[in-house]
Amino acid sequence: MTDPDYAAQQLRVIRSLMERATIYRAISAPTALVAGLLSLGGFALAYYVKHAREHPLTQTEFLIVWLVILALTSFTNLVFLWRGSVQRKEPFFSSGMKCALANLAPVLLIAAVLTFLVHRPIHLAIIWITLYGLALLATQHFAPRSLIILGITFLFTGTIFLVTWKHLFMPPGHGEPSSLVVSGLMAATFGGFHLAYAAAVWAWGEDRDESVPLTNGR
Amino acid sequence: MFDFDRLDKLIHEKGRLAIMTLLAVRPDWPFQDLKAELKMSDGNLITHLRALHQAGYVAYRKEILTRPQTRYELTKRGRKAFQDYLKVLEEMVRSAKS
Repeated sequence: MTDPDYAAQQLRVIRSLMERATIYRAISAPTALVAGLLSLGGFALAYYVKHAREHPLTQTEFLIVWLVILALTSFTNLVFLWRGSVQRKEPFFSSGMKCALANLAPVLLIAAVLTFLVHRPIHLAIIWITLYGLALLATQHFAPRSLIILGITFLFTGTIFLVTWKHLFMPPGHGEPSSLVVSGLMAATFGGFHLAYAAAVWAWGEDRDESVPLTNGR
Repeated sequence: MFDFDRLDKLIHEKGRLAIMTLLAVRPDWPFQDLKAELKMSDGNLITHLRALHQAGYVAYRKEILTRPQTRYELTKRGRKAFQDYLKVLEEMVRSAKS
């Protein structure tokens, strides 16, 4: 190996170690893939129910379906984070995870409270989209670029819907949007955005950037 | 041919380079977190930290919260030494390109 090659490798190692110490990915790419597919599945279920029994999911059913999807996604995320920590031989409750949980907790608490206070599916969907974006951005000081972009996308979309939801989903002469329409909104955001995020992580190689080992010094 | 004598030999050792790198990215690190991140034994880590402390690169303070712990941080001198080390490596890469 030539000197410049050696120097470049050392710099890569230092950069990798710095990123490992400063970057924590709260949502892994495989989790995002599962979340995206489950969200599309939620919409498929709402579509099936609407056509099978000729009326859409009730408010309670809508809430249950999406809470189950949230629970499955959260469980999947925990499994992938645990697997990652085992592969890197790091503690599961690493300093990065503790930091992420501390930053996520306030927004998630508000989201949980609002979920039990608000009943209309369209309101719930917009609140979830907006607060999820806020939660992701709460980790921006140590999150990788792709996760920050995901947070901005959710927050921007949620804010647009907050401002325009009456015009978009309840035009004059139309009543409350059905839970099928709202499920479509959830699938487009939680489904589409997460699938795009997973694709971006793999395309940009962000899933490999924490694996460079320390080399022997000369 | 590049002059390797320009690289700070104290930092260049792989264990100490890893310690300096971690200390450079956060204000301070508890001993246990450093140990977990670097997967070093207590004795190995203490030896490296002592060498860096004797060179004036690393400072530490002991505190008692729920239990006693020691926190380590880079001194101004240590931060400058680390930045100089990086500059030398970057020069090596640049010189190859030009």
